Amino acid sequence: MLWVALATAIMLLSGELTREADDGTTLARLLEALRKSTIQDVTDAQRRAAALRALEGFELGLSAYRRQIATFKACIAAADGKYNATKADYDACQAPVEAERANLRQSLVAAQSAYEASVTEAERAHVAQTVLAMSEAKLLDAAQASAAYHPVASRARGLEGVVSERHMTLPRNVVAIMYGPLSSSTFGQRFPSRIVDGGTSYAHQDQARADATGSPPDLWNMRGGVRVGMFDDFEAGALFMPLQLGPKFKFDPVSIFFTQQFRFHGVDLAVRASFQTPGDTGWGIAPGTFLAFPGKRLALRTGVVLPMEVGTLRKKMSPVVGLNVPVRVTWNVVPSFFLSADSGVAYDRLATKGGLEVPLGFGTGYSLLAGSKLIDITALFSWDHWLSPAPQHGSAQLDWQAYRIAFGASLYFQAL
Amino acid sequence: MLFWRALVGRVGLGVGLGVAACSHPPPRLSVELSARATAKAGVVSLVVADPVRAERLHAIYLEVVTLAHELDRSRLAARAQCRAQPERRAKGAAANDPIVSGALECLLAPPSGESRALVDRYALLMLEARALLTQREFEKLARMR
Repeated sequence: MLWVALATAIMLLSGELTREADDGTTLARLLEALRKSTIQDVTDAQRRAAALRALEGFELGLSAYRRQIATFKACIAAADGKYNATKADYDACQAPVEAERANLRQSLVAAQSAYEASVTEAERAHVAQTVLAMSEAKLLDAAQASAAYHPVASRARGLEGVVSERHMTLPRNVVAIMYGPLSSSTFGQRFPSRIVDGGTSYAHQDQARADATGSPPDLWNMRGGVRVGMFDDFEAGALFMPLQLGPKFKFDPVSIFFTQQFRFHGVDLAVRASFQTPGDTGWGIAPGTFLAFPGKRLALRTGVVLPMEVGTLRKKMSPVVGLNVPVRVTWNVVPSFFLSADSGVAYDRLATKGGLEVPLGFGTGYSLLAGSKLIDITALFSWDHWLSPAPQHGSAQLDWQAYRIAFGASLYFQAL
Repeated sequence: MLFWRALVGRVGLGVGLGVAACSHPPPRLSVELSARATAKAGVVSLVVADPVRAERLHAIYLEVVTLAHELDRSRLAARAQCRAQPERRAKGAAANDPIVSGALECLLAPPSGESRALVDRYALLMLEARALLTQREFEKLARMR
């Protein structure tokens, strides 16, 4: 209910609901204005009463119009939901509309004549002037409305099922309860002091690396949150349940992200602004630009992220800036099952010499439809510091000891 | 005090969002048809294992979106056509009058014209979709919206 309300409020504020609504509400406002203006402008009581009776004819007409539309839509929806439906079921929806509309037309013509007879030309001009001054009056100019009609090519609003076909942002009104790795919003979220991903994760590193980075050798985390497609290509989200389970239980910083996407033919360009609430290293900021190539079976994602940890006003520190160029290839073996490989280049602290690293990770996931909801069960195994091609001392080295396992499930549904 | 303010603020926001959710006007037929089709289009590959059938179904659902735009266009065209009929062509000041010019009549009871043919086309697409789906697949997709 919360998501439905939020989606409705966003659509209401952006004017989308008005654009998608039928004309009933606008027509009701026009008739209301006609009634008010007639009461005000028609001076003779007898003629005024006759004019208002004629307007009642239009009001009844509006009720009939609304009823016809609602009945017709319900009839089509019922036919759509029936597996054994035939052409006759759809025809049965259309037939009564024709007859009812012909009757309605006759009664409206009668009401029109009655109104014309009861109101003088000067009074009619006054009433028309009042009504035409309303913004709703543009509905009355049918020729202009027809000429000005250009359908807006908007993004399809339903859930995107096959992982390799998904875009960087969720479609409008789609909500994801995130509790698993490999989601778009955590792609490339590698800060100098921590890697942020959804789900339950266990990270292991040897004592030497633990001493160097200041993080424990065995680390358990649990991160959950939500993503919402707010507009066609704009998504907002947060991992607001970030817990460190071990070696010591504590709350980690909350991650918040906003992504704007630009869709081109076969390529998506996305810009993400993400930040973390202050933790041990203060605020974390990670602006990034991404390129995604969705495909039927194979998808490629890459990007450039500039993560930094900048301290806080109270706890000042020199900003730690990194650079991260993640790459992910996703292969949908079948539409519901995928494998993925992650790599790229990461430089967690640009100020430190020889810090360039190449991570290597493998993921997998299964997409499951449950009613109107989609569940992604995902898992990831990653060597986040796999290769150091040019360390400060010595030659290139591989680190198989530092690894991370993450797993979880994310739930997607359409809010409206 | 702060707690009560926060509580009142949240309740207010909740009520506001709730009212917004309940008070919006009903969508047009084209919007509903389009929404039902797009809700299925994205997940059809997860429901229908056969790629050939899945692809055709996907194409059908996308065609419904185009058809929905056509429905909107035809609705507006029918109203414009209704207004242009000689018996409704009011002269002088009456041409601007919402009632005498026949504008309201054309809005409330426009001729069906092309939209009937478009709904027929929609029905045929939906019947073709059924022919491509087993009952179980159909029911799974129907649950999407």
